[in-house]
Amino acid sequence: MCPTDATWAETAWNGIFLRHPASWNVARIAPDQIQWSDDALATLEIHWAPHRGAYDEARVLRRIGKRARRKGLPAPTPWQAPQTWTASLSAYRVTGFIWRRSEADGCGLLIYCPQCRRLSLLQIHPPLTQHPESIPRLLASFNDHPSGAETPLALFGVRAQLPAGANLHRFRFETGRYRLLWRKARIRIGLHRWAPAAAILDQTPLLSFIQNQFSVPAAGLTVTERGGEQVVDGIWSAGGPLPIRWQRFRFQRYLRVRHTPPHNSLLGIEVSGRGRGLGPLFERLAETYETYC
Amino acid sequence: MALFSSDSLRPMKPIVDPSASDPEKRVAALACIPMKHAGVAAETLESGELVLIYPIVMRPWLDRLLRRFGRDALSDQKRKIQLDTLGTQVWGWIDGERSVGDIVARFGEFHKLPQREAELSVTTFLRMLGKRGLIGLREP
Repeated sequence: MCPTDATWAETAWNGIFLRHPASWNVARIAPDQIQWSDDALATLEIHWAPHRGAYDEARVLRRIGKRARRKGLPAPTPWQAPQTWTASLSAYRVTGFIWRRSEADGCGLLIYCPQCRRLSLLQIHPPLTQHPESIPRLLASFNDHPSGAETPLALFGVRAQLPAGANLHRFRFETGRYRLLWRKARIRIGLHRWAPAAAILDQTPLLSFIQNQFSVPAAGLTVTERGGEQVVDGIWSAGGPLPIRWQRFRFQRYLRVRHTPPHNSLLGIEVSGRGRGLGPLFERLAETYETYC
Repeated sequence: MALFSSDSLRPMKPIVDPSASDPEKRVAALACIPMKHAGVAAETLESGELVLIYPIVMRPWLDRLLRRFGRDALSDQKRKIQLDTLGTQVWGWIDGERSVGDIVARFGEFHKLPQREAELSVTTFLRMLGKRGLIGLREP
């Protein structure tokens, strides 16, 4: 998953994966949208949604045009994208489009995946159309569905491998704190990140901080030292003793907070719910969740 | 201050207006040099955090009106604001020479924060100081 070139970075968000120049920052994000900008100028934007029914690119373009005109924006017209762009997207049905404005032009691609029936709309804004040399490499890395049993997450300096099928429930990226929540069947997954850890722990001891953040009793928390990192673990189960075969019906909550001094951050993983495989899922998440900034 | 959140979702726009973001303004703002107000005094607490004491800035017409009605002018009074560890650190880096961009880079490097997060933290803090009249921005 690590990019081989330091000038390129990766972003993985809610099923979409893309490698892009490292100078790009995420400027806008939603569960079905991501926009990058370079020095505050929008460069690339992706919207995606599941497509219902038979796919007809002309109809989709007409619908986009209608919506654009309603907002007083230029309507896109069909356009033949360069062969170098589409060469790496042979698994998809790709349609190019272009729109013209008085001050600048832009182009885009409609990418339909017959395998997962997801339709992605890529808008390439003028800063990138004027320097199109990076577009083929960028498109070659595009992936709209996870290839294995895990969905990658790589954004704002945090990275993890989430179980496939987990649906993003809530997210909040604040200065100093990230909070991301997913749901998968009866399981809730939460990833947290706090920084700068040194400033936080200067004010509050780690255990008190965790108690305040997660509203958990200190009695259930254990502190250990692993590989130079301070790790706080907690496991809680609801209800009284149950026969072993009924244990899977019991509500359980797993929590781990790691203090990673090299990255000056606190990483929190929380998994709760009922059913088998909660423990291994938690361990896998804890193993893959890291900061890379 | 939220960078992004699911609470602020907006309906999907088919074509985003690229001219909506103004990179020139951002670059110009980052190049500005923050200057401390001469009338601000700083007290250091035992914890190492700073308390800034600053005169209340009010509009001259309101000041004159209050004096006419025999009330003590608010401009003679002072207010206090306590900075946390990070605020104290950033306040210490405002020396009349470093630009906002320099402070952002230093803050990000010191605390190992992503560039955007550091920029948002520092600029929000500087904006708060500016609103209270504790600092001004000088163009380079």
